[in-house]
Amino acid sequence: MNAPAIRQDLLAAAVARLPDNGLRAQRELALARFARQGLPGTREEDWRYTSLQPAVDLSNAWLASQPRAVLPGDVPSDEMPVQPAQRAIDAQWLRFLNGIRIGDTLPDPGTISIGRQPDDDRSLIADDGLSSLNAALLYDVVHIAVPEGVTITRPVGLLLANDASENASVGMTRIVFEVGPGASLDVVENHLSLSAEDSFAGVIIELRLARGAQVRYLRLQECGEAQVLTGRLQVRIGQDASLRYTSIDLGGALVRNDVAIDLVAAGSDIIANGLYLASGSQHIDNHLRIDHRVGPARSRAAFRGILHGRSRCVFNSKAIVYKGADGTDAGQSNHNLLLSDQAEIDTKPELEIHADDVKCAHGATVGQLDEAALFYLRSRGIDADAASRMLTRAFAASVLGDLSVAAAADYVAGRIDEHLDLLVSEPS
Amino acid sequence: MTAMLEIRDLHTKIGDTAILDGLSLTVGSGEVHAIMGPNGSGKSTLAQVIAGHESHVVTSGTVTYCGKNLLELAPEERAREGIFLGFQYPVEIPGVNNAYLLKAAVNAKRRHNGQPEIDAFEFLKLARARMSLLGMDPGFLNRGVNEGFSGGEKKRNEILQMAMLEPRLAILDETDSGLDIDALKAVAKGINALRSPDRAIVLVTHYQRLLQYIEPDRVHVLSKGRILRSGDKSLALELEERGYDWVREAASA
Repeated sequence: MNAPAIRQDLLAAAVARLPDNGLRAQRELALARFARQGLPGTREEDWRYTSLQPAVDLSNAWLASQPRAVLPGDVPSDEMPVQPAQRAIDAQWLRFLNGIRIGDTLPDPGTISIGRQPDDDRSLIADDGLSSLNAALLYDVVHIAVPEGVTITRPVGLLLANDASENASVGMTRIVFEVGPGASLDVVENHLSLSAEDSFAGVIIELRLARGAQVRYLRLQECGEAQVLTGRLQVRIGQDASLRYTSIDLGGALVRNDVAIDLVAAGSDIIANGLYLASGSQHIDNHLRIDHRVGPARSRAAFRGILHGRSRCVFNSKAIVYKGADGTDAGQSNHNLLLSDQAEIDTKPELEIHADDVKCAHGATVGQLDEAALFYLRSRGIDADAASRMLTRAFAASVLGDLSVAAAADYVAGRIDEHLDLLVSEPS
Repeated sequence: MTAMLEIRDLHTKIGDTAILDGLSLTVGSGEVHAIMGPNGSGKSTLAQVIAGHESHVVTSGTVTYCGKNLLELAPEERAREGIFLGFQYPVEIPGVNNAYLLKAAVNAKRRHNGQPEIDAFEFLKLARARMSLLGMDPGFLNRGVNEGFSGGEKKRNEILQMAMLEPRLAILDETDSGLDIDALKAVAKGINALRSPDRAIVLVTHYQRLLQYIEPDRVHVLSKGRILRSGDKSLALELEERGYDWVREAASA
């Protein structure tokens, strides 16, 4: 199959209509790059199981409708209703609608600086078709900085909402975090859809951790069933810095989540875990890449999936240990529970090792509910449905037990429970 | 008097293999029976069939429990009606909290009997008392069901579940296997504490060892899917001395 194509002429016209707010040069640069790169097709190994055709179709239809430029006066203000995660999780919420930050003021800005990405910063990632498309269509870039040695106790929340009810069916978001030396920060990234119409959202978040910085990061994806979402978290980890990352996928029609972690100095420590629940015809693809450039350092990736209906999920996690990165300790695992014989998982935890003194392990499993455990529970008086639910929850529990952002634990547990109830009650 | 459990001419198979081959057994209220026999004689099958394991197919015969046709009931219905199976190999279920399962099991039975659910305080008090009887650390309540438990801890946990559920009929499948002497005594103490005139206990065991601590009313020897010989507790001692071949030879003679 050929790589899906977005019409370059329509894209150029849309880019030209965006306001001249300092990003124009970068957008033009990204547009030119996109013309060369295009979107990845299923011939590329990293996209073998995930076709971006729905994103292309949505983009072309949207571009053909000649979406008008978003002008500063159009930026939505505080009228967006308060969302469930905001009510449940005590965080300093930044809210975005179709990629544009809406005019909320921070309740307590404290020592965090939040602003536009400096216009002279030419470092915006545009190294593949998706990131170039994102950069070309950006309205602006939000830059969040935590100064050296500062501990932020209240998490920063990113509410990323999509509303396609007024032809805004494509939205691009770009956020850059700069976490200073020894600083500490919690982040909650919450994706949701406010309308039932098909839409395509592209989100790229850059996270730069300076020496000794500590970040706990939660991605909670609760999109609607017509949402196409591509996300990328690009992390650069400095010396002795640590990252606790959790990804939870509950919704979406077609979801791709790329997490790329670059370990550029010794002593860093990464734990990335995740859970994806899929049913109906959902397609959820999680791709992790961890570059161990220097040792010693530790990374762990552990994802679990529960699949029902005709859903299809993809898990790919690759740790690359560079020559000389001795003392690297890398582990990857992926376990899947298939509740239906029509659901499909393609899983590939990978290790690529070029150093001598390393400790690495990987493994993947795919299975059904354990019959022996089901009988054990039923023999204690638990009915078959409740026993299935108990075991399905138990399968998800290990991810919840290691949730990166403690402040979100109750909300996430509740949302997972609700989704599991729906999932288990669905006929297989 | 009607028997609590009445098994008549029971035949079962698993896949194409016949296991129980005309087994009959009557257990009355208040009685403790021991089912002994060599490996592969069908002891565990009997326990699993009574509990309702679906891999065993009953091809003929009847099982009546308190006047009801037991074979019509799902495993969970049997449990709520007062049947308890102590597993030979208790299943580890990481992610399901031990206390959570115990409480869910107790409440499933209470709802079935039209009783209100147990409140959290009463539950904890009861569980702690039962655990202390079994020499179990209360910390086990907060662990995953049997997760990382030693063999002895798993068996104690089975007896704890039994003590909390207060069954009318308990089938204990090789509860003594893999236990050291201290654990064996603790488990026996737990079982003896539950002996009562309105409860029956069936001990499935390979060795006579457990019967030194729990005195059975009746002892049955099972071989090739049927009961070859029944007697009082002296039969267990005789078996220990003369081996199972003695019963088999006597039966075929």
